Amino acid sequence: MAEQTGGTPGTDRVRVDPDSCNGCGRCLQSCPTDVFRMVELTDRSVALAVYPDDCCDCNLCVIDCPQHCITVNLAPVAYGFVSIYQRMGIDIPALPALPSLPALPGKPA
Amino acid sequence: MSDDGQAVTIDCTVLVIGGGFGGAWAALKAAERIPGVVLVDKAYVSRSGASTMSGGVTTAPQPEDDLDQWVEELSVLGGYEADQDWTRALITDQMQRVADLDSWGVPIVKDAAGVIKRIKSRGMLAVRALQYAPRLAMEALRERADAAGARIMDKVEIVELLTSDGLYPTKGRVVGAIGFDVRTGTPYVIRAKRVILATGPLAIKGFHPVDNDTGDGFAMGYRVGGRFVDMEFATGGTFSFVWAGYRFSNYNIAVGHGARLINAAGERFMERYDPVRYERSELNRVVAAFLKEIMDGRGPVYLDLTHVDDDYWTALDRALAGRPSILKSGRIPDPRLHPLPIEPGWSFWNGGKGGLQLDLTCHTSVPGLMAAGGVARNAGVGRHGSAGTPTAWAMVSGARAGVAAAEDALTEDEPELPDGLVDDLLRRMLRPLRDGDLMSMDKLHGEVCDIMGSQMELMCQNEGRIREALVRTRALRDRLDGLRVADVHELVKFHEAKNTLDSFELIYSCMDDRKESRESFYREDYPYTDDGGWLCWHTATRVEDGISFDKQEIPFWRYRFRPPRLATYLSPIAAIMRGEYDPAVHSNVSPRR
Repeated sequence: MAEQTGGTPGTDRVRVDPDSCNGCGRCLQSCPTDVFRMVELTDRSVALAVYPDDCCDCNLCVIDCPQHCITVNLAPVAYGFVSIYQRMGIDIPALPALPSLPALPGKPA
Repeated sequence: MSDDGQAVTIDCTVLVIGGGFGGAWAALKAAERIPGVVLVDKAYVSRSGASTMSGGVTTAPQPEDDLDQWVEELSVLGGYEADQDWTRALITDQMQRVADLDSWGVPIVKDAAGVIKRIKSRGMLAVRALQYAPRLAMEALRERADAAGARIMDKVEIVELLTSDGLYPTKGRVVGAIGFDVRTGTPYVIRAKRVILATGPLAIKGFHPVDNDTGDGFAMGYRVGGRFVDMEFATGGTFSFVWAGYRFSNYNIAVGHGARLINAAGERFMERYDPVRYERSELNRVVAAFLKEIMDGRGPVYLDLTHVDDDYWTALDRALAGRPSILKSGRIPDPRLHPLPIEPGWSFWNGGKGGLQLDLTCHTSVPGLMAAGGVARNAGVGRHGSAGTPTAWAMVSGARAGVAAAEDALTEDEPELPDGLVDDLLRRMLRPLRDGDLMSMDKLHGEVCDIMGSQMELMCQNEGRIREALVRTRALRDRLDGLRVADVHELVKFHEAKNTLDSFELIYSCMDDRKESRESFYREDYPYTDDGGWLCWHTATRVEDGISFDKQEIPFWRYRFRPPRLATYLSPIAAIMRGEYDPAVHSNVSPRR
């Protein structure tokens, strides 16, 4: 199914940890682009990201998962986006080393 | 399919299509009045579309405000293109919508005394906005619509409106819609006395995180012959972070807390373009200005958050309500210490600037069809779209549409459908599952995306570009008839691509017809803003042999606020791109009292 459509189940883009998943199906409800389906393991059902390429980085599944077992890798905009800096040959100053600082105020991301 | 392989037929009073703020408010208000209200969404109401993902700012009038001043500011900043009756209605009603959200316990930022804290927003001097948690507001709305008796149908994609004469465009009325379950493919036929389109604005797939706002309502409204206003304003500026390529969608809040834009030399360059409002200028001008800085060799351009107050970080959390921010991800340098290089973008995102034309009770030009939210032109503000006015518009127009639809439905006859229409539409809806050449729908959406060209090309239009886009749009649209999809999941994306292409046809046709430049719409071949010729409501309606355009006169004779003069001048973006920006001409700040 997903192979035909270019999807690659089980990539790191969207990952449900099958050991922690309790099969509640909340992520199937939450996902606006319908990335997840339930799959049968030998003893139980778990959610799987069957259409990970449709993930739109909204992270609603991450918020809604009661087991906190979904990870989504934030990804850049898709479909051949070309940076204006690249097109104009402008260099971006090197990324400064990430300093280790106290956490930002507010709830950590 | 359903168990017996047949379509499921549902009869309802009011059918609401789309479950963001517009649709959920409409369903709630209608269901409070009459039984038989159905709310349908292709995702899950409260987890779908632009409302849930919105920036956490909405317009916040309070009883003590001088509403005349608000109406004036919104009218002036909207280029005098607002329907000023609607502007007043928008502000007045929004007071109640905010009070409702507050009474339901939706988190709103307040001061120590428990009073709603209000912020200035970009482009605004008098108008104030509040900060809240949109996702939790959507949850509260869902709960209340459900409790009021609305039947909520999640994960059903609506693909076409039903018309009483079976014609597209119709000479009769809209009497329902057809769609299918996005997982099982079970077809639904929903007959209704009133249909409210609330499908949100148009975004392009791949520009996260509102990938499912694919212009479905624009396309369905266009096909039945609804009258649209100012669709050429459906594109606009945005920006993303260079380092990770992430889009930054909470600019409003950042600016409200002191964010600045600087160029490679460290200059706060907005001083050159809008020395009154700086970063609070219209986002389109801000993006055009920093594109100009880059082209003139003063790039890269940075978003400087090193000056924001501490409240910003908690306000950001509240707006995102648990969604992660790249700013706090640890994947970019600490934004408290380092200005962050940003990338200008230009994309389809109408935010109410163009859409279906609504009267004060949210009826469209087609009998039986109403609309709310981003699929409709935000009549209250015209072309302007900050200070939380898009969400205020969605909430207010949604509630008004729900009330009016319920009243209409009480006296409306049962809908009648012409013989054969449903079978024909169902066959066409499901056809891509059966025959044709197999194609990946991601590839198809990639081709749709290619039509709009680069950010720069989309911002700087001319006749050649517009006509080429129209030719490519129609060619791709014609190819759809020969395509097969792999499964039901892909069928959803097939219909989304079709709807985006029909939206393109409408938008590019409107771009072609407007022979001037105005605010966010810039034509290199007509760079002047010409109030005498084009300060109007530019309407477009699909007719049998094409599109019928009109320039509706704005009834200034009965409006309180009128343009001081009808001028002709280089449009702000044309002026920015030519280095001829003149604050005296281009800063349309409302007069201070």
